[in-house]
Amino acid sequence: MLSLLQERAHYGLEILERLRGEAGVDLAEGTIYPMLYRLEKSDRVRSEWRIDESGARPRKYYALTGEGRRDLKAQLSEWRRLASALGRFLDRETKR
Amino acid sequence: MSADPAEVEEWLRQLKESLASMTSPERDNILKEARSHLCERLAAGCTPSAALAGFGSPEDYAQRFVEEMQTGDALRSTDTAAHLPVIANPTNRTFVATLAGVGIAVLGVLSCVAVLMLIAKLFDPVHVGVWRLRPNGLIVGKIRNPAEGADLLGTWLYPFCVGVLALSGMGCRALLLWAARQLARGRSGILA
Repeated sequence: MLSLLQERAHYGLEILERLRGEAGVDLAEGTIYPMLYRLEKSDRVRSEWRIDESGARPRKYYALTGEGRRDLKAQLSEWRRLASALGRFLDRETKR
Repeated sequence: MSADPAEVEEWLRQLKESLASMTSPERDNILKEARSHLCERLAAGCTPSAALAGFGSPEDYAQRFVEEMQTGDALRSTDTAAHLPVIANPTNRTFVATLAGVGIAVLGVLSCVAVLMLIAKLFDPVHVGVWRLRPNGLIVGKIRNPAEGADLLGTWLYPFCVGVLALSGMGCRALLLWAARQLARGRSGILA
């Protein structure tokens, strides 16, 4: 989610649809909004209300903060380290 | 802006009720966001039931925000009592919460013993103390005949008990803070 917000600000439904469509992560609305609330409370994202292009609907947009960028960097580094270690572990059979 | 269909309006009404413990701006923000999401889903041709399905029941959905608020408040608070609801929350029944609970219970028992000893010593300074009995016994409390043993602390029992109380309090606070941080970190899953 932080990785998505790194590109630009997104609103909840947009995050949900991109995670489903691009990452194959089928998150429910009941999960994503409390998670965004937590990220905002911990100062990793900030939000603002904007009116959509048609002017009919307000949407709450979330953007990454400096703290969020630092957290994303740390989590990406940890994820890559873990993925690499798991990859080496799983490849051990093919090397034999 | 209205989500209109009665089912959605009823769900939002119940959500508002379930968020009663939150501050008004936060509650309004959550409701506004849910309403905006539902409007967009309905406008895209979704049925009210399908649009609401992902949120679950209004009570469960509200509970997630309330728990987040409690955890966040506990982490920011210097008041030890604010940490207790987070550790005691049934959804946080983890190893960390159990460990913190056991630690707090042990420190609580120690504090109670210290308080009881303080009170007993005040009322009966001759018979109450930490006694070393011959040949190698130890009694914390009251003995009938003080001549049977040696009072190891004497009047130092007062500052000792106060010290135990202070250390127990600090220990409880540290445990609660540690547990609340661990639980908050545990909730920040890989999806974030």
